[in-house]
Amino acid sequence: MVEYVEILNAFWNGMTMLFTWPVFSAMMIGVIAGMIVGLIPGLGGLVAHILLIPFALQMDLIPALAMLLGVYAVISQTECIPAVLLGVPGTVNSMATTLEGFPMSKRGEGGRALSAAHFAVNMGTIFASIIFIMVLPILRAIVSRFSSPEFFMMMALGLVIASTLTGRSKARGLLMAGIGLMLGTIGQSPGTGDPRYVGPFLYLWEGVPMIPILLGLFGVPEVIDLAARNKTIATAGHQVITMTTGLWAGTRDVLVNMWLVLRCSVIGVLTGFIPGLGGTAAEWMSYASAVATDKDKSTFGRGNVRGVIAPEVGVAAHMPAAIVPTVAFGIPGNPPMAVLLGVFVILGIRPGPEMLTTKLDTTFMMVNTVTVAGFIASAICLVTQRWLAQLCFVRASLIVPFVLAAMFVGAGFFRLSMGDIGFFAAAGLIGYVFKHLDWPRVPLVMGLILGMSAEPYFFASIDRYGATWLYERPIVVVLEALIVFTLFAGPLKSIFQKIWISFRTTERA
Amino acid sequence: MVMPIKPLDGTKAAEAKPMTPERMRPILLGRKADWILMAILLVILIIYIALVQHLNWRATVFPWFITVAMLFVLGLYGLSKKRNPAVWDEIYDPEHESMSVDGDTGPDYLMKNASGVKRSLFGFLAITALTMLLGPVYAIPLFVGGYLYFQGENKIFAAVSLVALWIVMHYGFAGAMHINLPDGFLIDLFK
Repeated sequence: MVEYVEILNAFWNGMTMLFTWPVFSAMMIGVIAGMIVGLIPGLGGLVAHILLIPFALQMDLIPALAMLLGVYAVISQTECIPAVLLGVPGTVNSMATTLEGFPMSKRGEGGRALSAAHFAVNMGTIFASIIFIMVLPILRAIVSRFSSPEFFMMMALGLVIASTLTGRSKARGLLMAGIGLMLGTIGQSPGTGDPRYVGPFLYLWEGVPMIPILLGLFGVPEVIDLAARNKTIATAGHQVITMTTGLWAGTRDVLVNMWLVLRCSVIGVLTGFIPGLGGTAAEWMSYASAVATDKDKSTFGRGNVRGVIAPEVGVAAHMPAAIVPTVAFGIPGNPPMAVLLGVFVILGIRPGPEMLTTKLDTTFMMVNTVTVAGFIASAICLVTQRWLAQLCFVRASLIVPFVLAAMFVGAGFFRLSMGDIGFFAAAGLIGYVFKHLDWPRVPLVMGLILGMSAEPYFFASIDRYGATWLYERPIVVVLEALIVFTLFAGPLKSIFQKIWISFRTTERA
Repeated sequence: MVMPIKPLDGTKAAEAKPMTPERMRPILLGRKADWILMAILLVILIIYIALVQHLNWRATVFPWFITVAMLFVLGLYGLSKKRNPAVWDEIYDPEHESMSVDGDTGPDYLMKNASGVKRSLFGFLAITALTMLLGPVYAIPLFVGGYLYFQGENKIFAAVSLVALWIVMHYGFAGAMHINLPDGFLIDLFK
């Protein structure tokens, strides 16, 4: 009980931190920037995120966090507007919403679908916050048992899970994580202080520049493709279906389906806790849950409002939940969090148990920012969605030069050196190749970020416990077993299947 | 013309769907590019581990671990590709046109939009070179103004964008905020 009082106190402190003038205004900048850039199909929320990072690095810690999380929070809000009104999913996270929302829009229920989507997002984030508060004592108990060996092994597990779950090929994911780890070893060795791979370049002594690499890897490929197409994804063929009716109907739909909302919130929170899984898993698992529990399954795909509510709740709930593994274990819960983790480290936030104990108010400030920004974004979206949808029609020739200019300037901001521009351009070109060859880029970023922290943990473990930590510490052993299982679950399954089939055949014979 | 191909989905050759050359070309391009990427990665790994051999063992533990693990995965990946080259091609299966949200990824897309992609990549390299030579303060406004002009946007808008961006970067960032973006090599030469 005392612990819950302490937790609720931290929750309140987090809320008061958010509602100070500089922090709130920084969050609003994030919300508005996220809405504008996030609405342009082909760019999306992740690019909006990355564009603001260089500016965040010039700010104080808490306002910078509020601004970046403001962008993070509005992604799912804005994505559903083109998905429902134009049938154009901004990213894969709004595919399921498109399936049901656009047919609703075509029969004149766009307002109802959007209202349901926005309200569902808010319910999802609120439920996620409640679930977070409820499981916090358990999380704290687990994290308090963590020392360098556990953190090292947790990072290894996070990297393996992210590599095997993102993209279609485990091998490609692991190789990309390896490339990230290789980049992370550039600079001074944490074990000895020896310079590694720096050559004659003083610039590299501090390691590779993370922000220019992020900007290049994720931003440049999208801009190059936008320029190559030289047209917006939302073409004139798509009619903007405008409406103002149905707003209350959508809200009522969410309230009537509260059990579905709760179930999808739990799904969203669980997927948020699993490193690197992202919103897509939350979206489709929630959608599947809505389909599976509906009496009339034939209405799905033809505009069933439950098919709008479920994925929106799932995606929304996974967003605050993904903050938890990021700050507690240093393992990003989804791709935007992988990007944000890099920024956290630069801004001075050190993931670890203290983020759930002494710095719990900062963690709650972050979770609350996502919830509050989501509310504000919903209100803005409901009032302005007719006009916001027009952003989808802005010509590529108007977007490309300004976005690319912002990226170049942002890259140059990092160390104010020409090396930043070089790394940005190289990462952009390599990112373009990886994007089109389907080599997942998220494991590379995770390898880069986690590699920088994992090596010091590794040497701390060796210096303190020798090699005994590998087999004497129970949590380490469990994490090792999970790593082996994640890596070899597929081959083991097929081997056991073959053995089972041959056994059955022999038995029948 | 319809040509017979090796099966893409691990089924027997007799069950494989026939494919047109238009569909085969991106598939073969994707496979070739994959092999090239693996070869580059192998060379990088050899150089990567060779470069740290003179250092203290503590500085080489991690690079060795990474190299060995990557060689192992690379070997497995190469073997699986060799055994069944089509294993990663499902994205190009006509029945599953694209796994991307708007069908804008993969060699298929690159071949369809080859001229646009080449132009965009050339433009990106050009702006990078310009920034290296002149620095972002001059290169970025020039690029934005030039891009808008050559894309047929309103000339006045292009000119205003060019001037406004230069003012923001020169007086806003450097003057008011004291953020001194790097100078280009050409500017350094004349200083």
